[in-house]
Amino acid sequence: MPDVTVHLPGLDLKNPIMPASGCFGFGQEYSQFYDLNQLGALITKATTLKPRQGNPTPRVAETESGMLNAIGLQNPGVDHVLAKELPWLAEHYPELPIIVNVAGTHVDDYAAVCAALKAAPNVKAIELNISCPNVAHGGMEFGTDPDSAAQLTQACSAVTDLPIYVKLSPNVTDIRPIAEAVSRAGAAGLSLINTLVGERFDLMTRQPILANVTGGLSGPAVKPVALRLIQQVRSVTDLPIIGMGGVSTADDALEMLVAGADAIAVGSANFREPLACPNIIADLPKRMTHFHFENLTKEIHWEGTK
Amino acid sequence: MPQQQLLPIVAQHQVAPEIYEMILTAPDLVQTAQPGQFIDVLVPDHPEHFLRRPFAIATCDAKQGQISFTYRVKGPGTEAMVACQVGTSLDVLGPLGHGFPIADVTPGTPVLLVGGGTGIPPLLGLAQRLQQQGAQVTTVLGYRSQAESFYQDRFAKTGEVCIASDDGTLGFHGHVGLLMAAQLTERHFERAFACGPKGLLMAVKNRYQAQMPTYLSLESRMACGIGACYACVTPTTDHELKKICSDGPVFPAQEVVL
Repeated sequence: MPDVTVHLPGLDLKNPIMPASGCFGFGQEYSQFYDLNQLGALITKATTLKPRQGNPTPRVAETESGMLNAIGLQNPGVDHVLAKELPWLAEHYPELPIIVNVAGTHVDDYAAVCAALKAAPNVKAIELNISCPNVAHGGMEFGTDPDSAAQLTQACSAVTDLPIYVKLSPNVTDIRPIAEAVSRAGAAGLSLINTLVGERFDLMTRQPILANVTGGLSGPAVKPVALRLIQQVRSVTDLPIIGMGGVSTADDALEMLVAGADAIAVGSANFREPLACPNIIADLPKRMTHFHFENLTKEIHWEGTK
Repeated sequence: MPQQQLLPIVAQHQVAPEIYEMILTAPDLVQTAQPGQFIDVLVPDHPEHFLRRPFAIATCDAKQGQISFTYRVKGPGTEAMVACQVGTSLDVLGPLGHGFPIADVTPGTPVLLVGGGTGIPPLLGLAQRLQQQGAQVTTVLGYRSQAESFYQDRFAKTGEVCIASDDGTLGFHGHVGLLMAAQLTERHFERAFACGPKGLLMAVKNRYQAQMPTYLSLESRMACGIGACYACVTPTTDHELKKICSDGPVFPAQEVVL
């Protein structure tokens, strides 16, 4: 049997597969369909200091082999997440490593959320969301400028011992300087890609389908872009990468690992196939054997990026 | 508890221009599904149609072990569904959401159902269930025109039916709000249920919510269908957001802002 375990800062994973932020709530909905203990880890919905209402509706639109979303970081706020969501996960899945996606509008509120998460023993890492394309302030404005990204990473690292994985935006001319900047600022790892900014229009009304006009593109359509960006980031850093963007199958996951990722998050595929994650986890050893992978260490990264 | 199942297509036929009815073998679903709940359906053989499509369950036939849903062809995804052959199967999640609360409706209770367009089908299963419970069912149906009307005969078997059409080719000339104002103001009902376009829901909400328990079935673009993605929210009167897929799709009228 090939070895599917993965060892990253803060995260000893029995397999590399985890649901991506925003596509899995805080786990309860999908626990109706399977035992979440099968997962390598779970990345929560973005959590902010105060509750957020998000954007007006419509918030989603289908695209060819993908979808646009503009949820706008709706979430109940970190106090509620600490009081209800994380304890629920700890009670039902005590062994499941949780990565909390942290979002904000200013350095101070990002840092306050990071500091508050110390109170939850099942949180093993933080994913710093500097790449949400759907809010006016915060999010992507940190993720598109190397200096702001580094400053934020440093401020958050200073208030927590948890490893911080910085989630990078694909909506930049060159992702490498941002990856390098957050690496120097103390990131334990990287997470990429967030969604690509897109739009759709309704021909009957001649209006944008999304109330927010723009939304983030995800799904199989973005996979080649994700592979390119992961490979580019891998070429400039040794930091672990949680790769994501259009993964629906074990082969997609392996392709992303070859491109330079060390673990894999599965996003909008959950909406199409609620069992996407357990299906990938079940198929992974078989597909590894088929393609002659013995394990999922750095050795499998494409040699061109080493 | 929702399940993911492959459900065989027993029949599919057109009931009006661009409106089709699909019947599925679903022995498990008929045991648990309530009127107003929905299913989330994958378009077969077309992975480019990435998301599932939510459809309200129209009828549940416990004896035959079959459910039906009725949909309007709106784009390439629903066009591909029209091409689905009897004997093939659909990948279905369900039953999803919360349906119309009717467990406490007692025999003889006069109830009002108001539906328009593709909001009409889920009311058919509701009308049938209420009739079985002995309720006195009155249904108001709104169509664009006679040519686009469907299911009147099936509703007629459940009780009284009042019909309105936008162009006057069938029944009352005008929308259902005008019909209710013209014909139902003197009538006594003890509960109201509605499904249809926003204007119809507004009319029912404004007319009945202060007088009797009134329930509206809302519609929205959805991604996950189970409450995980936060796409299909509706504002509530106490300034919160509820998820149409998992908190609804049926809400007390007084709870939601349309």
